Order: sequence, then structure tokens, then C-alpha cells
Amino acid sequence: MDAVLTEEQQALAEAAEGLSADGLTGARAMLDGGEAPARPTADLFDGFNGLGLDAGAGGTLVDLAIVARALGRTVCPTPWMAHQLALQAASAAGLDIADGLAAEARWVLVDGDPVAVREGGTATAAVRLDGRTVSLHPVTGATPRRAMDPSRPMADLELGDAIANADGHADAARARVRAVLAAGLTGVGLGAVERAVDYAMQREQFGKVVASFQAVSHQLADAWTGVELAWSLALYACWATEEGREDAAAAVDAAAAKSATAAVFAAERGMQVHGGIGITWEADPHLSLRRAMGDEAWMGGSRRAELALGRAVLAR
Amino acid sequence: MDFRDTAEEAAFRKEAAGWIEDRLRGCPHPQPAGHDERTVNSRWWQEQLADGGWVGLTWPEAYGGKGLPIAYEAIFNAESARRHTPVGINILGVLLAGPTIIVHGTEEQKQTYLPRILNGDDIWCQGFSEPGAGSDLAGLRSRADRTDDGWVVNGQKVWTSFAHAANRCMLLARTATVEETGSKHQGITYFLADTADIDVRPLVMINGDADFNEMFLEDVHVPADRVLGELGGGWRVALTTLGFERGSLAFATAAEAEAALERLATRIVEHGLADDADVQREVGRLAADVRSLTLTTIRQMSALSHGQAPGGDGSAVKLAWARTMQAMTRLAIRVGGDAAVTGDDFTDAEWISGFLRARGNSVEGGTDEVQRSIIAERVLGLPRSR
Repeated sequence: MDAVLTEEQQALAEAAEGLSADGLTGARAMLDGGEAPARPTADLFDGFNGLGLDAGAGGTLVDLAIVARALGRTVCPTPWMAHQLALQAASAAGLDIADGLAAEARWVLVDGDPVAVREGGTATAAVRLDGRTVSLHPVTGATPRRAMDPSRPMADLELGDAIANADGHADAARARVRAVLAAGLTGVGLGAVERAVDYAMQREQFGKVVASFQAVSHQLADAWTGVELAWSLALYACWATEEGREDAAAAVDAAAAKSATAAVFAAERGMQVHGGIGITWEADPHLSLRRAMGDEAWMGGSRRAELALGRAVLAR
Repeated sequence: MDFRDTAEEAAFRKEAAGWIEDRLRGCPHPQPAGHDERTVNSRWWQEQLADGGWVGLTWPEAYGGKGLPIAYEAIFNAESARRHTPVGINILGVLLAGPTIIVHGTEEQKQTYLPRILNGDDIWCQGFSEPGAGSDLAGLRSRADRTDDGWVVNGQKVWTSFAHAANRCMLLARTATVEETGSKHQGITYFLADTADIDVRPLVMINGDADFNEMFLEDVHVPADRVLGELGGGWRVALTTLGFERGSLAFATAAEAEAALERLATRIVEHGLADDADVQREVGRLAADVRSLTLTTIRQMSALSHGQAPGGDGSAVKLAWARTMQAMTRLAIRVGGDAAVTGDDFTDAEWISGFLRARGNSVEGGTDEVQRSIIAERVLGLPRSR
């Protein structure tokens, strides 16, 4: 057993944390109707396009999970994430992704009808999962939608005829996408805990910092516990999927089930610890909560994952 | 990043699994009816372990161990839990007393006690907790007073597993008062005591079993050469023992949860509820929890083998393990319906006993509240709150 991040992976984590350090500022700007910030998107496309794919920046799905987690930690807005998921899905289906690795390409992922597509407004092409089929389409039109998480802007798309398609690989594509989203969600939860810790260490009531009350600190310990255990599941889901392990499907379901519930729980606890300020527009906790709920839905929901995993266990 | 066994680990796992299955066929009471039969099983299993050379896997070879990394002990414990083996009657000697003596003992103490742990001549219990000192262990009040040739100890201990079978005891007692030392962590001494003169009474739990005992010490004589570590410096030695408790012992718990999940799934299928969506979802949640315990334990072991200090993962696993065991055993009874709560059937009775016993999981080995405080302080950097 050697289930630790390699030195390269630790360096990648640090680099990704550096790039996404101002994520909250960008998420805040988009919440208030602003444009998507140029950074760190430009740097991510420069250095890490096609991460986890040999044709791209190389590495494995675990490397992509590491960056997804760092981005989640600061609720960092960037169309880079949707683009990577689309590349992963296309690659899993055996489609040619060369065009998607071009600097100006902005691919997005569509599951079923092209409605409420994350980052759809700036998309150049869409990878569509439909039943068992995976297909690649040009985007011919986009109508913006409102989004619970404005840092992941959504649009309804009009798609042109398929440029390429492959039958029978949609489940493999979904597995890769869900495993990476699960990793991102654990980052969302971790960031929510960390910011609540910072707040609890400076907010004073009854003459001391509220962090010194167990009613506060134990909530944060529970939130951290959920997020840490979910990170183990997400890491394994990515590793097992990459390695083609027999239990990969169950591993992805387990990661999806726990990462979403852990992230939402952490975001809610983080908000509670912020007290009154936590439920105001100007404070950051709702950014985490919006991202957690939005990404859970993107991932297909924890309920469905729980059901699928339970069915598999009982069918053995 | 690799969750797989190495080739050596895989070979060891296979050998261990084969040996366990083979020896288990001779178990005196495969379906033990109560505490006495379980004790017989535990004594028998300890003999098998000693005979097969599976005791002291992580101990240095100089002291009769195998000198293997901790992952191997975890593998052996996991394969044992998966097959529902009895608990070796001297598990506390092997996993706690021996390793603590290796760290803090004199050469003479090592030569005296370690071989007797390996061959099963000595059985150890852990005299730490007291009626007034549970989570606040350093508040213990048992006292040891000097005599001409050693110490005489008076006090009371509680929650001492295996005391009914043990002849040795890791015993904490005050050799100086808090007033004298100025700190409750100073003045505690760690003794390697005999239990012959200790009054041991079983503590019957809510499931009717007596896994634990109370110990009453009235003028119990302890020879001078039985002090482990420094006189008055027993707190540091005790922390070593507690560290082994969170390490080696905790690694078996994930495997125990995996085995329980398998039995739960079988039971649900047998009760015709495998197609019930509510049950499916609950099982899914539990299966994810159980997986998270195993995987976090593997990450933890890997980090330890890279020389990284233990973080909060042990406490996270402990918290989630207790909740998961409690939820699994609760669901097992519920899916049995009204008939299950009669307990007439052996399997029903086992689940009832397991469910009641699992309530202790969130108390023993550090309560949920203590684990949360450990995470809050050591991982999140929050202030001490007592």
C-alpha cells in the first residue's frame, strides 16, 4: 500500500492552490453580475489543459482530482473545469480530442438535452452523453440561464450535427466525470470549514473567541471528518477508474454519495458558525453552499448514487 | 498513489488468510453462547496465534518479533476480522503492553516480559480508567505509597477488558499528589503490576455480556522493579500506550465494519427486502461509510510508513466507525421485523447483542466528544475547550 500523494502530486496541489487563491474574489464578482475573471483560467489552460490525458498535459485522473479539489476549496470560477470534464468524457469514448486541446477551444459537457449547461455561454463545442452514446457537436447558439451558483454560469444550447460519435462508452465517460466532480466537492467542503475556522478564531462573544466553545468547534470537527473521509473515497474513485479496477463503479458511487453530503453539510455548518453575518449576501458562506448544491446536481445527485451503491451491494 | 497491496503484502495476506481459515475450523465454540464460551475461544485463539508465529509482527526481531511494518499487522487484523475470529485473550499484551515496554522498558524488563507475551504465558489488562477519571484520565486518584521493597497501591479501576483472565496489569497510580507536583500530568507512575491481589469484578453491559471489569485495589503490593519509565513520569508512558491503541487496534475496526456490512446484506436478502428502495438507499449510504473507513485507514498507514506524523485521520475514522456500526446493527434488527426482537433465533440474538454492544463504540477508546476535541485542536488548530 502506498496511498499517499507523490512528490509531483504534492507540487501540483501547491501550484493549483496558488492559482486558485483568489477564487472567492472571482466568485463574488460573478455573484454580483460581473464577468468571469481572466485568472486563473488563462494559466490553467496554459499549463494544465488535458490534465489526466496522455494527449494533453499528461498525468492521471488523480492529478485532475487534485486540481479540482483546489478549485473547489476557494469556489474558484473557471470554464477550465467543464472543459476538462468534456475532454475526459470524449477521451473515455475514444473520440479525437485534438481540437479540444487547441488554446481557444472551450468544450462543455451535456448529459441528455442541452439545457442548463455549465459554462454553456462561452462554449465552442459540446460533448453530449445520451443514453449509451457519446457525441461531439459544434455549439450554434446559447441562451443564458439563471444559476443557483453564478460562479458556474449556465446556458441552454443549440447544437449542430454531431462531428463525431461513439456508441457504448457513455457510462465510462460518466464515471470519470463524476469521480472528478466528487473530488471538487470535497474541496468545497474543506474550504468552507477552513473559512469558518478563521472566523470562529476572531469572532468574540461572552468575552472569548467563539472557537473556544465546543458547540462551535465540534460542529467544525464533524464537518472536517465528513470531508476528509469523502476525500479518501474520491481519491480511490479516481485511482480505481484510471486503473480499471473491478470495483470502480461502486467506488464512484460511494464517492459521489459521500462527497456531496459532506460538502453540503460542511457548507451549512460553516454558515451556522458565522452566525448572523453568515446569512447575509456580503459574507462568503453562501458561495460554498451554492457551489456544493450546484455541483452535487451536476454530478447526478447523492440520492441516485446511494441507491445505485445499495443495489449493487444487495445484488452480490 | 497506489491503494494496492505490494507483491510482498499480497503474499502475506494470502498466507494469513489461508492460515486463519485453516485454524478456525478447530474453534471450540463456533457459535459462542455467552461470555464464558467466548473466553474459551479467546484463550484458544491466542494459543493458535502463538503457535503459528503471528504474535508480535511489528516487534523488533531482537525481542522475538518479526520486524514487519505496521501495514502487515493491519493486514493480519483485517483478515482476522473479515473471518470473525475470536479476539486473542492477550491482545492488550501484544498490541499495547509489549510495544510500550519496548519503547520505555529497561533491558531487564524487556527480557522478563516480552517473551512471556509472545508465548502467551502472561495475559495483560490495562488499568487506566477510574470511576472519577474517564475522558479526563490524568485526573486519576489511585495512589501508590512507598514501602521498604516497593509500593503499595490503593484505588479503583474500571473498564478493564480481560482483567478476569489477566495476570499482569498496565497500572497507572499517583506517586505524588497534584499539590506536590503542581500539575495533574506530573506524579503519575506507570507500573507493571500483578493482578493476583487485585479484586476483579465483572461489569455486566447492556447486552448481558461482561466484556469489562472493575478492579478494586486494597494495599496491593508492587515490587520496586515494576516501574516502567520514570518515577512520576507515567503520563508520557501512558500516552505511548494510547498511541498504540489508536494505531494498531484501530486498524482492525474498518475490517470489522466490512464484515458486518456483508452479514447485514445477507440478512436483508434473506428477509426479502433486497428490492426495497428505502433499504437499498440506506445500505448504499452505509456501504459508502464502510468504504471510507477502509480507504482512510489505508491512506493513514501509507502516511505512517512514509514517516508522516499521525494527523486527525485516526479520530475521524473512530467517529465514523462508531456511527456506522451503530447504524448497521440498528438496521439489521429493523429489517427482521417483530420476530427479530424475540431473539430466539441465534442470528437475531447476535444482532441484538451486537446492536446493544455498539452503543459502547461511541464511548470506548475515547468518546465521540473527545475525538471531536482532538480534531478541533490538532487538525483545525482551535483552542483547547474543556
